[in-house]
Amino acid sequence: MGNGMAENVFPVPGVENIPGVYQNRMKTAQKNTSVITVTVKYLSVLRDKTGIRQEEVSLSEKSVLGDVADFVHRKYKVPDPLIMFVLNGRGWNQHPDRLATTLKNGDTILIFPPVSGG
Amino acid sequence: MAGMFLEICKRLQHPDTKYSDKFNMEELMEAFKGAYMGKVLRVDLSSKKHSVENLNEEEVKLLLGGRGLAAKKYYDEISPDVDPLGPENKVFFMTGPLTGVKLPSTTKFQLSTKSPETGMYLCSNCGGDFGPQLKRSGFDGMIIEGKAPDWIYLTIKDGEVVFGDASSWKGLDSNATLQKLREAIGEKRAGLMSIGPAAERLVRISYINVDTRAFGRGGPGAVLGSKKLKGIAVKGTNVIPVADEDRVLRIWKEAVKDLRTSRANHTKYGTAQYIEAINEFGCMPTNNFQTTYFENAHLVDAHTMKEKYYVKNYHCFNCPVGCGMVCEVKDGPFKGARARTEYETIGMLGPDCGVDDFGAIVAGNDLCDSLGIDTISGGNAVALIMELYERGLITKEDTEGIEAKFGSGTAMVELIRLIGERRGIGDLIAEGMKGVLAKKPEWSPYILAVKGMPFAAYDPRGFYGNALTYGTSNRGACHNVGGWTIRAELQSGAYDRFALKGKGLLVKTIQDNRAYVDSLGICTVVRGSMSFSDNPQGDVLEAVTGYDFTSKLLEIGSRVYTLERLILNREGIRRENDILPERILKEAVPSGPIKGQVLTEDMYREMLDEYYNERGWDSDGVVLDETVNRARLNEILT
Repeated sequence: MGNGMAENVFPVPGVENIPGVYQNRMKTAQKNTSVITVTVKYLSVLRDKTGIRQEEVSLSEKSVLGDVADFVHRKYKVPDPLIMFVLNGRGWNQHPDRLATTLKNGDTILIFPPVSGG
Repeated sequence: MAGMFLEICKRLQHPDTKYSDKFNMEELMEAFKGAYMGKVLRVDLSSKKHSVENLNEEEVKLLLGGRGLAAKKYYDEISPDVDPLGPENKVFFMTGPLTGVKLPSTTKFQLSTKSPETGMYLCSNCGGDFGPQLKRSGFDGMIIEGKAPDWIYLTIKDGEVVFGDASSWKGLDSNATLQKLREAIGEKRAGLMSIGPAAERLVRISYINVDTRAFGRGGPGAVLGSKKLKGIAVKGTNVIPVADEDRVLRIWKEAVKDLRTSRANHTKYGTAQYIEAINEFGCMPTNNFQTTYFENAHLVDAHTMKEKYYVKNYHCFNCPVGCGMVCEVKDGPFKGARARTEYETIGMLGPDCGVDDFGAIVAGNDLCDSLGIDTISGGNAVALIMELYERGLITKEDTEGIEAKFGSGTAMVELIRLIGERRGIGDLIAEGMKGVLAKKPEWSPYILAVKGMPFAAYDPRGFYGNALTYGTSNRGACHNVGGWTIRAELQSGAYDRFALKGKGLLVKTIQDNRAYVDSLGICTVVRGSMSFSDNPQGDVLEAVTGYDFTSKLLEIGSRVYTLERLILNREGIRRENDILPERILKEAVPSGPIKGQVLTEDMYREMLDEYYNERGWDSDGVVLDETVNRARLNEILT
C-alpha cells in the first residue's frame, strides 16, 4: 500500500504511541494540502495493542483503506492476518475496490480480530 | 463386513423386528472400532425402574450421535399431543462419538424434549463433565420418562442406577443442589445436573444446570421439575475405546497447539470480547430491541470485565481454551455476586435492559443461576416488563413496587426474582412469550420471539442472514441452531450484510454445519482446530471410530436438520411460524451506526423463499417427500 498516504505521516520513533501526536504533526505538515479525517476504532483485543479505544487520523485526500491498514500495522505492529477492517459498516472485502477503496472525510473504520461463533 | 451389513439390513426390514432389543450388540457395533459404548439407559421415574437398550448401527451411520440421535428418539416417541409438562413427555440425552474422547473440548452432549417455552420440539447442547461421565459409565445416552411421586434424584455409577429421596432438597438453588448431588454419589469428580426453584415452580424459561454449564434455552428445567427430578449425578470409570490411539494422540497435540493461538482471544476475554464489536456493527439489542446501539457499551465490555470483575477462567472437560470467565463483584450494592458472565448474558441483562453496570449483570446472572433461569430468555423477559412499565401498560402494582425502568440494575435483578418466584407480573411472564401472547395478544408489538423462543443478543436488522437464522432455527429464535451468520456476512467478502440474495444457502450451510457439530459431541469453539468446517477435512472421525464419516458430515447435518423440521411440521409448524415479530419487520432502526435500516416483511419473505428452495421444502415450509428420500430418512423413519 502507500499510495495516497501523505508524506511524513508517521511520527519519529519514541512518540508514536502518544495519542494525538501523529494527528497534530500530520496537520502541521499538510496544512497547505487537502486533508481528510477518518475515525479509527480499535475493538476488543486490538485495544490491548493500541492502548486507545479510538483516534482521529488525518490523511491526504485520495488516501485509500489500505493506507489505514498500513498505518495501523506500522504504528502498532499488529500483524495483518490477525485483524479485520470494516469501513462504514461493511467489511473491507465487501467494497468493490477492497483495500483500494478511496476514503472520504468522516469515514469510520473499525479494526478488530476476526470474529467467530461460540 | 458387507455381508454382515446386508444381513442386518434384511432384519431391519422385518415388520415385527424391534431392532434395539433383538440384535446382537457386538455384531452391530463391529462397524465401529471405537467411540460408541453401544448402550442407552432408559429410566422410568414412575415405576423407579430402568432398562438398557442397544444403539442402532444404521441410525448411527445416518445421524452420527448427539443431536441427530436425540432427534430420532424424539421423532419415535413424542407425539404432537404430548403436554411438555405432562408425565408423557420425555427427555432424551445423547452423547456424540467424540464426547469424552481424549481430544479438545469433547465435552458436549445433547438433549431433546418437548419445550415448555415453545410447546414444540427442543434441542439443546451442553458442556461440563456430565456427557463424558455418562459415556464412561457405559452409556451413549439416557432417556428420562414418567413422573416420580415425590422429589427424587438419581445416581449412576458405572451403570448402576440408584433412586434417592430429594424431598428435603426442595427449594434448594441449582448450585447448592449440585453440591448435594456430589455428596450423594460420593465422588469428588462426577457429572452433575440439577434444577433450581424456578423449575420446581414450572417456570417455562427454567434451565438445567450441568456442572455450572447449562441446557439453557427452551425451559428443559421445567420438564425435569414436572417429573419431580431434582438432579442426576453420574460417575464412570470405563475407558472409551478409540480405533487408533496413536493417531488420536497426534491429533490432540496438533489441535491443542493450534488452539493456543487461534483461540487465544477466547482464553483472554471469553465471548465478552464481542460486546464492543457487535455494538459498533449496530446490532446490539438495546431497551428491548427498541434500538441497536448502546451508548455505554464500554462500561459492560470485555475490558471492563477483565479489569474489575474477572477472577479466573473456567474450563469444560478436556478444554485447553477455557472461555468461561468467572466474575465476582468486589464492591457496591451487588458485592459478593459471582457468575460466569458471557456474551449473550451481558447483552440481554445489560444493554437490552438498558443496564450499564457490569456488577448488576453479574448479580443478575448469579440470581438466574440460583433460581435456574435461562439468562437469554430471562433478559428478554425483564426487558419486556420494563417496556410495558415505561409505556404505562403495567404499574407498580404489577411489579410489586419495583420501579421497572430501563437502566436500573437493581430493577433488573429484582424482576428476575419476581419471575423465578412467580410473583406479580412475574407469574404471567414465567409462562414464556407464547404464554404471554396467549393472554395478552395486544402486547405483541413488544415481544421479540419466534415460535415462542425469544431472540439472542443480536438484532437481525444488523445482519439480514441473522433474520433468517431466527426465523428458521428449529427451536425458535436461536443464534446457534439457527446459524451464526455474522462472520460470513461481515468477513468473508462473499455476502453483503444487508443483501437478500444468497442468504438462504448461507444460512442452510451454517445450520447443517452446526447440526453435525452438535451430533459429534464437541464444542463449536474448538471445531476449527479439527477442521470441522463446512468443508470438513482430516482423519479425526476415522481415528476415533474406525469409520470414515468425514466426507458425509455436511450431508448428515442436513439430514438432522430435515428430520427436525419433519418433527416441527408434524407439530403444526408452517411458514407463518417462521415470520419475525413486527418490531423487526415494521420499525426502522432509530439510532446508532445502522440508523434508518429497515427489513420489511416482503424482503424477509424473499429470503425465506430462497431458503425453502435450498432446503427442499415447499412454499409453506413443509418438507417434500423427495427431500425425505434424498436425505435417506425414509430408511429409518416409520
